[in-house]
Amino acid sequence: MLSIALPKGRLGDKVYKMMTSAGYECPDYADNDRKLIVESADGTMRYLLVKPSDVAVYVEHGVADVGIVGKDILMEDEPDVYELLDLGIGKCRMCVAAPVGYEDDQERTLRVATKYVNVAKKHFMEKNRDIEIIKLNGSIELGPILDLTDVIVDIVETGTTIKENNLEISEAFKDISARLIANKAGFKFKNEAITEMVNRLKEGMEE
Amino acid sequence: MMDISGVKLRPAEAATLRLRGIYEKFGYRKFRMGRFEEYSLYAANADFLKGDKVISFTDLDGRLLAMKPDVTLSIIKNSKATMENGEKFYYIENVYREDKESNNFREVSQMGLESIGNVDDYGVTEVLALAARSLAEISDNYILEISNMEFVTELLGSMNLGYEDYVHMLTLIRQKNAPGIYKVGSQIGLKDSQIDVLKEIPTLYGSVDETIKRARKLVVNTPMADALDSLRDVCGGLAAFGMTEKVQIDLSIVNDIDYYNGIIFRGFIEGLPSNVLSGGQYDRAMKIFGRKVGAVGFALYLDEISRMETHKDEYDIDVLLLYEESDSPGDIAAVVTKLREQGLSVRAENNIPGELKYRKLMKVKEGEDNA
Repeated sequence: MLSIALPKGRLGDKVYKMMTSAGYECPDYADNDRKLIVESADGTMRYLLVKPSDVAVYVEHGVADVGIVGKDILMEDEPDVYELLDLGIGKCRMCVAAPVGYEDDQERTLRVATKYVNVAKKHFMEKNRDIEIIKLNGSIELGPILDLTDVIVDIVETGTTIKENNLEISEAFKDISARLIANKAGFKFKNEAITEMVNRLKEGMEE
Repeated sequence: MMDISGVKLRPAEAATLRLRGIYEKFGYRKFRMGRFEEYSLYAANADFLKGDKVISFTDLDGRLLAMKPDVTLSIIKNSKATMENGEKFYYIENVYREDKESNNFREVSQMGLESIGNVDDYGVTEVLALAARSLAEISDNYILEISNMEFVTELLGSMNLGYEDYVHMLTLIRQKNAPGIYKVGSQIGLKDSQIDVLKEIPTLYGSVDETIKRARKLVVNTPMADALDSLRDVCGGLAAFGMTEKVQIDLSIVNDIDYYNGIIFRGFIEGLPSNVLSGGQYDRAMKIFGRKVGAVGFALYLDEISRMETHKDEYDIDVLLLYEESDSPGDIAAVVTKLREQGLSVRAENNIPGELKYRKLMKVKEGEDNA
């Protein structure tokens, strides 16, 4: 049986639609409010409905053979998995944003609010900029507003939240979208099933 | 489970014992290493370890030492092998590594085998065959994946990439990330024909003959063709050892280019989430340490194997023999002996241990009557 880890929520629903048109349907998905596992009628596959940031964990540890996860999470956690396909949905950008009119003072340590600690570290290290990271788990925009930090590093989809909080994007440094990942051992032992899924999803995207 | 004189061995323990026998029959000697090593060895070779986190401490004489995070580096540093006088040995050691998820150090148990000296195609073949045998001892459902990393490094070498782009491309190849290869290839200005070849690398896996045949079509220089020839030759050698059925090629496996070269490989067991075996040629690492000899070896991760499901006995013990103060040691011993002779396991106690799951409870008097 093929186990697929899906992120719960809006992205998961979009992905499930793609999976259905590729022929991977689980009728129970519709009433998935409480269910954590839904199985197909013929018992050949099942979906694990998990927190988006946990998808890669389930795949890396092999309880899910494949999973769909945002590139932002792959960049942050760097799991040891195969990244087989860019599904082209859930598109957004990884950005540095600052209050409108903010000017960077290179002589000071830059204070950065983010939930992507590793991504932010790596980005500013490449620019040789000394930073101090303050990790927040949500409402990152509050960082600069309350003068907790100078800037934020976060994913931006439409930019509305950024604008509403009187911030602006100072740098967009990576395109993010949903990716199909696979466990490295599972890819060997269930190669036929996984390759077929990749091909069917590809066909669906080309249409 | 393997049963040696009544002791039920765990899969990793049983594999260790059987593999020692196999390795020794091929002339590999057991090598016992010290647990500590100069800290500077790891500081200077962080790339080899894929990290620089080691447990370090100051010895009583003031030297900075480390608990070994890896065995191979110590072997490279200390080996006395020359081209004329090769060394073949195996080891079973504990090493100490960072566990990223818990952010703690973890003790990892590994068994490995190394051949250093004038390592030719046969030498590599023999180590590959032993790797396959090692996997077969653990489970029937295994896959040994082999690559010759020169195929990819020579291809990338022909493209004149900058160091960062080179490393980035290697990462994408390891991830089988074809869309990423396409995107990055376009960004750094590779020709369409070059991108088309790179994009195919993630798909170059599968059965030996068929994969080599597909790879031939992508060859752009002689070293790449040579890489495929040597891969074909060692796989041919494996056939003579009777170990080809579960062997596959995967040309997207590439190790650290500063230390490894040539044939590299990885072993998987069905049901375990990551590779349980990894190995390859590391002539380049020997060269870094100023040694002009060939080297090949592998490590087997015993902790991964111990995750395998095993049949857990329903009972801890067959008979719990409950004695009283009035029973003499001689009487108790006689009943224990009788029950043991019937092939039963016996635990004698003067009260019932709370956690113990026993098949049968017996008093000394009953034991004397029944036995």
